[in-house]
Amino acid sequence: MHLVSAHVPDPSPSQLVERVATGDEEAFRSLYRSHSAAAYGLALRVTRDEHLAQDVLQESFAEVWAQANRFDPRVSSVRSWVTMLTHRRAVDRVRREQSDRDRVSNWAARSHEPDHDSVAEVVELRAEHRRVRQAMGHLTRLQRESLELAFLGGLTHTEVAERLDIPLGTAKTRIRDALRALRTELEGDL
Amino acid sequence: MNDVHDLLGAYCTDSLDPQERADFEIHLQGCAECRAEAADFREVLAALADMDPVAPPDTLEDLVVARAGAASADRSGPASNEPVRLAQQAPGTVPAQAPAPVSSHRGWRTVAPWMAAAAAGFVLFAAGVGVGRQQAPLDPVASDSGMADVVAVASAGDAHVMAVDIMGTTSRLVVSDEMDKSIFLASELPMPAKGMCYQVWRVTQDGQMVSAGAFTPDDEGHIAAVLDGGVGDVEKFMITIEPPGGSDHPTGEMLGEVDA
Repeated sequence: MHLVSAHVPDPSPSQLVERVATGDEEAFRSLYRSHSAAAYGLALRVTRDEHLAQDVLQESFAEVWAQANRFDPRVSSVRSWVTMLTHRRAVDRVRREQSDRDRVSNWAARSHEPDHDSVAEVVELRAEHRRVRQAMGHLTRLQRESLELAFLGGLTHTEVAERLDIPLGTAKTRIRDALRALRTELEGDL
Repeated sequence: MNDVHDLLGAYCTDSLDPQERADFEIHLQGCAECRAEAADFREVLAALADMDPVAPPDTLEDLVVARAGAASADRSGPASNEPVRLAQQAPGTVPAQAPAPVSSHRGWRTVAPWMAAAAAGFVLFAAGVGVGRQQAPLDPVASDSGMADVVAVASAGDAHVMAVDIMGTTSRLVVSDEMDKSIFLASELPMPAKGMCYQVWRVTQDGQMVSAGAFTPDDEGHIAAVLDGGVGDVEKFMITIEPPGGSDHPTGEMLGEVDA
């Protein structure tokens, strides 16, 4: 009998998801606490609207709860799973809420603003952030812009091509090339 | 179009339109290389997403728990396999036993079919990769050789994918004119009550409705089966709920239809 709970190590993220799958509310809260800031930051980037982003966060974690029994740690990390659910939801919301043209011009208008002045409590940068920033810096301009517009801007690849005034095929390959280059640079870090 | 592999980046950044996404997911099922690269890309994107974390308002946590239906008080379990009481549902509504989050608030299953397709695609994708889930989503009716046929139709050069909403989930019909065959793919389809089954109908140009097969999903709601009959004269496909074993003519509720 081990009654001293202090000796029990913190569960790993995938253990947490396993517990969520059994309907463990505490595990769900703990998963939320460790992933909500990244998810909310992403939702804010894509939706550019606090209310929408909060709604997205609720929806995506509802999905985390509902799909926890389908999570497979051999296929992805918990972080990338939560990111994917959140991103899809965020993209879905902005595509529903705004006309395409609005969104393109919004992005153009706002991408010159300083980052997140209005948003409180930016969590401390970690070492990984530096490496990712560095790796982003090594991309070509077209690669970086294609990736940012597609992923953080929530644009379709057709819109990316329009926005950057490049052929559709080029937009597709730039997004892929950017991801490949980042993967190569970050190999071992992730 | 150039090489289909080129779409992988846009797929992982959710930048494809719904039809392209559906087509690409079919490709993913047959391309281990793309699946492996997609997993890598997703880790990169997660790191990228992590760059600008913003703590959400404290009050959101309880809302998230409530929205997910995760509060201990109303637990029915996310993995509930309770049969759905079909009779109480209007077409297109969310199953009574479905996880709570989707039932309130213009649920994603009803509002955004392509999102549901995306989620379903992920499940198929996961099923193809994970060792413990490597068993292809098999319709209990179909044999192993049936699965090879499913893959053959899915990867046919002229395969055309059509999404159809059934019971709040998105299923797909894939048609190949060259092979004169079609397949039915479903994910997360609720288990019908009391041995009832889903039946697909081919509606021909002269208005006849011919059964293309009756199916029961597996535990994870998967169906993957080659449909009976050719596709040449098919105007549309319809899906109904029918008594065990299926019917000669549609008798149950019409759950979904799609033009061929």
